[in-house]
Amino acid sequence: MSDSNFSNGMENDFPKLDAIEFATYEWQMWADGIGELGQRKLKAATVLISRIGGVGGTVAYQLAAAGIGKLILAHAGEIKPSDLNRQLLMTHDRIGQSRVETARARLLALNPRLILELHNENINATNAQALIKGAGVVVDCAPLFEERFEMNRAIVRQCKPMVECAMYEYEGSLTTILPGVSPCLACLSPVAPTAWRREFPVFGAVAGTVACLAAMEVIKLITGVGETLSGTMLTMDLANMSFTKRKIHRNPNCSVCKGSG
Amino acid sequence: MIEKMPPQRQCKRSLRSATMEPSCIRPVAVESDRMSPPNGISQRSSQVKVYVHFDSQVRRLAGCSNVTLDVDEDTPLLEVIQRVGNSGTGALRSALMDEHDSVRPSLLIFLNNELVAKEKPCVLQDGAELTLTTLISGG
Repeated sequence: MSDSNFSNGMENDFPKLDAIEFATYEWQMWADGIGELGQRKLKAATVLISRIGGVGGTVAYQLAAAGIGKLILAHAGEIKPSDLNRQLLMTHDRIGQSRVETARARLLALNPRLILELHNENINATNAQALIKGAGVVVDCAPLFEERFEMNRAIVRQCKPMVECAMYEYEGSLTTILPGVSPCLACLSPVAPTAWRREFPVFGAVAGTVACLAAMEVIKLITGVGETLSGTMLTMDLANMSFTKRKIHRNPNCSVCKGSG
Repeated sequence: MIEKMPPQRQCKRSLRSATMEPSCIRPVAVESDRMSPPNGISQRSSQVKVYVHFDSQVRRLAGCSNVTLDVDEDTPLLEVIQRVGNSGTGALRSALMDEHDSVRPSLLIFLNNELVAKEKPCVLQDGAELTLTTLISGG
């Protein structure tokens, strides 16, 4: 799989835009390499986002704004007060109510044409393969390494691209996994770091920054514009506004992706 | 491949040692003790300067964002990491190494902004920039 392979397709494979869509997306269709065909590719796309918290919620919002055709959202549970410093799809008046149902209202208010498939559950060994099967691109925004590793196994098995994005305190990291081409998550770290804790310091603006970059990775994967972060890890430290791109490599002995590609 | 960290949050002091913030790291000599020449003549290989950066949780455990080391030019990378771990707090050491003094599989090691395979031998050049970090998972 490569970036360009993913975005390839005959023009007739992509749905036409209606007048409202032309008006809504006119300014982004002016972007180099997008045009009407790029917008139609976005409309044809289905993206799975694991968790719609501080990172995933903003990824979903940006993709809805960009005119993605369908989002599959997986996130269990109800809204808590401590979600609301960063989870921009959630609102105070819905504390105690379902996250995914709240997200539905917010996303459809922005983009009524968006098709939503909502799962009030987190990614796990039981549902990962089925959820990922329905998507063309996956975005991993889970706070638990167990979920991330589960998704990684599933996307490698199904050869689906995954944007891997995460944050911690003032820092963020981002890469795009193209199974068989670039390193998978297990190539980088086959096990969770010993020091990782479920609760971590987080600002919404840091999560949102990572999310916007992740949304651009998705848009590039779908439209074929630009270069993705495949084989590169972008790290950022917003405490001092430093951004670094680092080369990453596949592990030839990786227990997950060895032999793929 | 790209930019270097700006100077904020750096804690540099020049010693022939691991130089970190004193609150978390105790200075230790890092000149090689493996170099005793067989004929007993005092002989020392030349030293190289290595800049070690800590990111994410490793930085938090180290208590600072970077240190500067002067090491013998043929010091293997993994030995440098072990020495950094042994010079820090127990928490930093635990993040870098397991109970058998092996580098943890979850540790990401970047040499001059390129991921290094832990199993491959690697010797540091003068001015090398080493980044020690782990994956993060906040979403």
